[in-house]
Amino acid sequence: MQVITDGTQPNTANFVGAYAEGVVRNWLAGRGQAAAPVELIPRFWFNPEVESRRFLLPGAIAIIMTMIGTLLTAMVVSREWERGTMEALMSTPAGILEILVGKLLPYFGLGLIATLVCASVSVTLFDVPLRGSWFALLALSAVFLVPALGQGLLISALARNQFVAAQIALISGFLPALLLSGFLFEIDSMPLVIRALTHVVAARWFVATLQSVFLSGDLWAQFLPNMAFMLAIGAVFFTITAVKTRKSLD
Amino acid sequence: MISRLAAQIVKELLSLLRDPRSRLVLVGPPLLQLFIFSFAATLDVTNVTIAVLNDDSGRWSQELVQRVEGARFVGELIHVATPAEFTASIERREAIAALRFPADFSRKIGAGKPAQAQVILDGRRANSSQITFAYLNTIANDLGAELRAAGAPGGARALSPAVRHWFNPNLIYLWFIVPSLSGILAMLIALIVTSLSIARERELGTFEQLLVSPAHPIEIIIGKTVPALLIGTLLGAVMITAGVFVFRIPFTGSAVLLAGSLMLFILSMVGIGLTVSSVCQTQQQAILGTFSVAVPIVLISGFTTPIENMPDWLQLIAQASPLKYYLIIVRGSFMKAMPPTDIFANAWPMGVIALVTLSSAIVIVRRRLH
Repeated sequence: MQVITDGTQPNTANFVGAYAEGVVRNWLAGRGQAAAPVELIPRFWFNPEVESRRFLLPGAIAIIMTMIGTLLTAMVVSREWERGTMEALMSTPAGILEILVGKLLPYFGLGLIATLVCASVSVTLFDVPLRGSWFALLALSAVFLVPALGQGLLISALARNQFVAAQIALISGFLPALLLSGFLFEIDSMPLVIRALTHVVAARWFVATLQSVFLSGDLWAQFLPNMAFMLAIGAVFFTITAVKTRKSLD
Repeated sequence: MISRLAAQIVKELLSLLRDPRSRLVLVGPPLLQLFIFSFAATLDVTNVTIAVLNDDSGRWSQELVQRVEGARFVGELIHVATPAEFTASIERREAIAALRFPADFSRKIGAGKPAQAQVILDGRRANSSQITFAYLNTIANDLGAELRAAGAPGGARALSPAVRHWFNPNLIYLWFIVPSLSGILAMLIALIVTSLSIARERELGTFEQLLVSPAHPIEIIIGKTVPALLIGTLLGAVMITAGVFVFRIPFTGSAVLLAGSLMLFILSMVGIGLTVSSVCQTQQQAILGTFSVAVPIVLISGFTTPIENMPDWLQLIAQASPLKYYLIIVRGSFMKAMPPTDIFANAWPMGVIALVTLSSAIVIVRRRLH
């Protein structure tokens, strides 16, 4: 007996092949053939029915937060540079810190609101359990927004032009959050160099904790190190931005 | 009129390529991305960590553990001593799967009875853990088949279907991902270039000047279409070429038909981008609008999940995603030697989408005139 699959879609082909073998095995067992001498009994923790939306939706929240944090911030600050109003702002008595905090705070708030809305929709409409606490969810999101906003700010300081800022945000923020965060593709399976690269993708640390907070509960032993990584990445972004901005004013 | 149109196209190209930084971000990063993501985006499972809690001191659990340890997909095998560590290894994502052997595992096999071991899998990474389980199961079945053969010489080997993967017999993931990324990255560039174009002019106030000029809305739209079409198609073509010559993916179809399909695909994306741009007042709105269109287009295209798995209403919407048709054509052209009739069958919907979106952009721009 032969099963032929379409290898142009390798993942689907893999699953179809495995399912076909499973069906035949069950059929044989049902026809009274002796049970397999060695049998593995699988149990999928946190997601017993293996519903893909249960791990895709938490990942999607990370993507939305990256867009709000990085893309919008990069656009809004580079717009000031593009129009030349940043210099005007800087010549006001407001300190550079005040200006930046004033620019970033609305997006920080917007990010937290987006988390709440997305989480409520996931829980009520898509039936994703929230086994951890809302407090942990908000704390994780707040911490993730630090590197996300920092990246947006850095991009705007480097680009100073909305078109360039949008491109850089897309390529350094959105696509890595989609492809290198472990949301769709397993990080362990990537080549060494790329695996090393994922360490500086803040979304990687966020996605792992989001999946836990939704599906398994408040695992502070996992959350705290991941939060530390996110804060460290954020600190680097803010430091580079501060250095860059000071120089350009002289 | 022709010279007026040519002047428009030159002006659009200049506004894109004049700035060295925007020249750089248009060409450099997408190609870099192709290489990084092609290697990163693999749904194959390799180098995973497996935890083992062995309550059995006998020979057969050892045998199975050794086979797992030696398997190609396993990177590291950690032995844990207590149930608490066993649980923690999964919870903290240290291991994707954890094997637990009961104390009577080897005794049962020795007595010729079926023996069972438990595998705990991380459901948070359901896709990878399912594949990991399938691999582990193969190892266990092989061991079982050997035991059965040893116990009953000449006895019937368990029947199992022979699985053959056509077009890509070893299921090399790169062969899938590189052609797909050529479409997705070119699409994103085309969308951003066009969606920001009208919005930027509006923000700078030059759009009103354009509207009061003798140029007809159709000319304005054509003037904005051509440069984006050129850049998107060129980028897509470079990536396909890289797929053939750098990644060495077999290309069995027609290059000319694929190039035509790529142009049609980019044209439909330009249409979508211009429609978004024509309704937006600022570049920020345009970029948000682009993403709220681009993300669904990618997600329902069949790139991340098969369209057949989606609910009926979503499958219907998926028919409107130009990327879906392009992905079928580009994969088919690489691996399946897709015949022209099949290419045309998947190309005309992109043409319809391009026609609808471009004309709606013209209508919206014309309405602004009155």
